[in-house]
Amino acid sequence: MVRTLFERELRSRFFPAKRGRKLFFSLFSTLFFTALFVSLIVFVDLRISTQLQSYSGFNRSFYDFVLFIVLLLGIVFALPTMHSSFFPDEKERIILGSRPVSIRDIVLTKSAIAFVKNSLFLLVTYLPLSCVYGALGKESFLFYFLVVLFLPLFSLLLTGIGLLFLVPYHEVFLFLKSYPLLSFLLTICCSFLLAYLYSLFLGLFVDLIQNSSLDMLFTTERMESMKRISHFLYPTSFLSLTFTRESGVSFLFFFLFLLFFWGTGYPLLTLALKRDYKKGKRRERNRSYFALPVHLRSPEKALLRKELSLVLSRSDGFFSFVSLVAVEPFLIYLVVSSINVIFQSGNLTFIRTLFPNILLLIDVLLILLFLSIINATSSLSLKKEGNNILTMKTLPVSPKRQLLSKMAVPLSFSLFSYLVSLVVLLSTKEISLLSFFLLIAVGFLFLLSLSLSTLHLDLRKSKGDFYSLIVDFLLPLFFVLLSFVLTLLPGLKDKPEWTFYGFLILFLLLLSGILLFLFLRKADRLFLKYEGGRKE
Amino acid sequence: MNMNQSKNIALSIHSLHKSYGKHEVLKGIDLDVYEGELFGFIGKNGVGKSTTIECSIGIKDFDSGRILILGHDIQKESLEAKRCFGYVTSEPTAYEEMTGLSYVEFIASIYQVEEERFLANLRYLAKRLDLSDADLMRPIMEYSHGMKQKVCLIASLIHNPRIWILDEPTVGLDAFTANELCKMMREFVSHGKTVFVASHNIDLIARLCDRVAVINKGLIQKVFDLKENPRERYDLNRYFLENAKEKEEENGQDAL
Repeated sequence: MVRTLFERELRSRFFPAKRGRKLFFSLFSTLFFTALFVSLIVFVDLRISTQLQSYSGFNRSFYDFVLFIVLLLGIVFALPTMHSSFFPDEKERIILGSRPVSIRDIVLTKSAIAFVKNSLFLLVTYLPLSCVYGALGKESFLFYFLVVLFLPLFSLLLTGIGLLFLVPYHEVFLFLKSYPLLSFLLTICCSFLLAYLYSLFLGLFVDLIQNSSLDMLFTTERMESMKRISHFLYPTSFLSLTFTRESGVSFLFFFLFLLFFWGTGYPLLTLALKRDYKKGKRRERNRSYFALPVHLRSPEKALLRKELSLVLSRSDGFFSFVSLVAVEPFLIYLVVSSINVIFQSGNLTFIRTLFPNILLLIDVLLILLFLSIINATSSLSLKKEGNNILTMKTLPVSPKRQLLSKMAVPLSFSLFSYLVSLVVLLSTKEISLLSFFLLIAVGFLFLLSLSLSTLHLDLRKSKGDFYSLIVDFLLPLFFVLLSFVLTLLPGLKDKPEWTFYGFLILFLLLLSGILLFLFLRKADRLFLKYEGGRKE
Repeated sequence: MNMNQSKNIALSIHSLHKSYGKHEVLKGIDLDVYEGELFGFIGKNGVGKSTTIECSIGIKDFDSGRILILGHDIQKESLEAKRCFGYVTSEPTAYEEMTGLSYVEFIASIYQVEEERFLANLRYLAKRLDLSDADLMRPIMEYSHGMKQKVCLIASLIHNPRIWILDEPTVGLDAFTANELCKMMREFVSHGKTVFVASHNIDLIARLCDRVAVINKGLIQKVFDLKENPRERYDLNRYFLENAKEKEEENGQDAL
């Protein structure tokens, strides 16, 4: 029974129904981004560890920190995926709840899947980072052997912690679900926190790129306190002691932690799931009648309000459109200022002497890249309408008006956030006043072109996922690339700022004009043919 | 002389052809539905019922033919035509992120229903379909299938349409609500308006409708006038079952 359940889980979690090109792109993008991620963390870790080598004993403390951060990240990533896997939706409840399967077996199977996932996570974080430590410290073969041997044990620990914390996580999840506003605000706060952590990491990265020392970050006082704290980073400090000093006692303590998390987490989760499977979906009906707060509006306002409510209600994730739009000014400022620092006072200063406008070109490119990526997460895609496309088609409002209002809400959000970003860049003197005004026009035309082409391609596409991939990911990148290529020549020549912007604005004006013309001409007919996200 | 010839036509379908790629689903549908009648549209799954309806109300494009809704051509005057009807599908389609009330408000705003009339209609329909105010204030995603269908039924009638088009409307409804819905259809017709209901439930259609068209293989096979000749109810049952049996034999489904 457990084996059958395990095979089913494995198929549904790791091998969803993907075939042909979709499978290829999915595998390719996963491998590509994983390689990029591993390269980045190894680079940063290597540079820091190399600098710390001159201070005896600090490398091990830093390794302790690294392992602890891996553990924390592992928990942060594991909890949401484990939650969606363990706590069933209605379909899962019916499929499994009606079969002679014990909850214990379900927990065991899903834990096994979580273990596999955590092992994969550790394979791309813990293993390369440990190898960096081993290589710099010239550790023996036994160290590497233990590191590999402990990968499954570390993964078991992560899974055990996940099991223990899943029940409180589920309760918080249910609580927040009943208070959408609180949930929304918390998401925004978390997005800011993530953006702040990203800024710390980026700062570190910029320092390393500039090849300057990390004395500002690793002062003697900080290093001493780091050394003190590293002894208390349980349970990962036991792990590093086992590898580096081959300490049997540390292994015993690590094992006790492992037993504790599994011994408490497993029965607790089994109990909670038993309750959850029996309870089913809460559908209490309140039969009270009261004065309904009715607000009827004009058709235009009603359409805009509908789109607004859809955008807001679909923004409950850290990487949702609204939370990304909220942190966009901060992110744009971080990246642009970092690039400016690198090109103005680093190893790359010489490039500016060769190409005076290169910084302007890269800044604009980065801003457009942020705009396009964040805009791609908006709810603009018609596919997200699903069966509601039927409702849209029966409304006595012309498709053009419906589609324009669909575009207007995310476009307004993006534009507002973009304006704030530009004000931040201007006030911190990262861009000139002339750039500020010209960038407003560039951003507006760029977003308009991007939104119109997304809509246009959306209307033309069949239900193919390959086409969705193009519209959702490749189109925004194509737009940025096109802008880059077209402005490369004036960008690299020693011409005044306004000529560079003039060229870009002219191109975007032409592009948005053509797209608007095509949209107005073909929207009605294409909308009638469109069946995109509809389930048959 | 046929009695229907003196009535106004609510829905007129002429020579409707529709293909999906090389597969021709509708091979020339001809149908007239009159004002004040409860018209049934019956056929097995996959014979073109829903496609006919979806072409008729402007959801799908079609290859050739002409469709008029109260005199408005669905292709040339689609907005005017769409104002005339309310439509319900078997699978409830509503914005699940909205509350029941905000969804019905949205639909009413689109049709520019007056506030007073909106409230009166909402109160009446919600009571008939057993939805409380508290129910209406909850997000649709929390509703059961039946409750979602009820909200869709309310939304389809909130603007007082002259034609009510229903595609398998009783799927997922409890017996009480399904019975209430049948009563509502009858009441709707008694006010001189038109109901066009598609289903594969022969008992429901035979019990409820004034006239019934049977569709098979993309064509209207026969139209039964049950109001004029109540005895045709028996013929309809027999015709439908024989048709169904014929198809099963064609498919070699003798496993049972």
